[in-house]
Amino acid sequence: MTMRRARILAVALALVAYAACRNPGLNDGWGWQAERPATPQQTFSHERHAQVFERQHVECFACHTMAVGIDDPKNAAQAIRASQTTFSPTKEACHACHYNPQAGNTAPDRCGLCHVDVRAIEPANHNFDWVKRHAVFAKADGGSCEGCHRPRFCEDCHSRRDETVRTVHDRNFRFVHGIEARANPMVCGQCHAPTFCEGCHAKGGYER
Amino acid sequence: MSDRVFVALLTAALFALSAGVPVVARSDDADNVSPHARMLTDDAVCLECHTRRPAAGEHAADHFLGAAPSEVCLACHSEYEHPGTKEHLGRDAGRLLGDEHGRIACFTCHDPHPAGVIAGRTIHRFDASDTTRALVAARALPPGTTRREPGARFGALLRYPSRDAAGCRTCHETPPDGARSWYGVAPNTLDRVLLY
Repeated sequence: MTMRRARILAVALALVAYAACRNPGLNDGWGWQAERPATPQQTFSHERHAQVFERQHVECFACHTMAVGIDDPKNAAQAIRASQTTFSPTKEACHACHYNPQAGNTAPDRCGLCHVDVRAIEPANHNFDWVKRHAVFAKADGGSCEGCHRPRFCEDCHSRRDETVRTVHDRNFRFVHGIEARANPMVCGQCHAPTFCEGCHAKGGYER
Repeated sequence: MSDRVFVALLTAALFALSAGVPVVARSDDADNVSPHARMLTDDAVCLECHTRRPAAGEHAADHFLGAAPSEVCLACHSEYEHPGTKEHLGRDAGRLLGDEHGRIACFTCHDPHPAGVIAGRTIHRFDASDTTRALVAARALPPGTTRREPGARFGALLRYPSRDAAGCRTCHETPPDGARSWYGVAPNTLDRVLLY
């Protein structure tokens, strides 16, 4: 009987410990905080941007804005605060190239450099099992992925052949794909170009 | 003209004068007050800042100014005139034109004299690329500030061209080899400055 009670107590304690340690948010419960850069200067590199800025005529004033009037220069504290804020870049400067859903990104998305907790800016539907469910959204609006992700983000999973990861098809699908292909020959063409099958099958037909 | 019309006009004129209605447009009025604009038409305006008019080629350490060079602009302008002033004022001017202590003043970047006042001197208007203008237009501004196009008449009276950051590059430089060097300021110091 004592042994049984001890087991129940152990299970109860384990449940309490699990509930206490469960971590629904990145910064909750574990006693550590993700280190988020306080300002863009902590991650921004002038060196790495020098060449592209020169090529695209992005001048110093684009981020270190001076063409702004201080409404009340006599209020020194407010003027200093307004001046410092305006002379420092804001997120719009980064987002113009790195996150631009309207015009499209012209530079790689590196959201994690500033947004250390990427989940804070993640769309609500990117939750449980999103990897399996994303297809229907991606097919409905193919450009929506690139609103945040870099242009080759999709291809990195769907086209890569250098790593043995599961992408669309299981590994060894090449040897069993004939079953699915015969059941619905059009299904291949939903992702692959019309010539994709013929590249292998042209000479010997299905039996090859 | 009937008496009634004359009285009406006289009343209107007196009312306008007593109410302080400006006779000239505001921009003209501002030009009449600003010594920068009056330099083009009035020789006597020199003496508002200088003690005397120098002979051709004559130079002096104090630029013949009546007040300390670091103070003379502040008689009319604020040291918070635009963002970036406090970040620069008082720092080592290096090889550029500095105040009486060799430190950055308003006239390190700006020339108070519009083009044509001093023979042979080139004065640059503020200019920026379309990309830069678009980025500035897209950014959020803090409360207490107003977006403005610099120098509608004189283009901010710059000593150095602003296009492709040529003015900034007289001190700040990012060499193509990736090794950043900032004139007169160690990189780490400048990084701390930018972090406030």
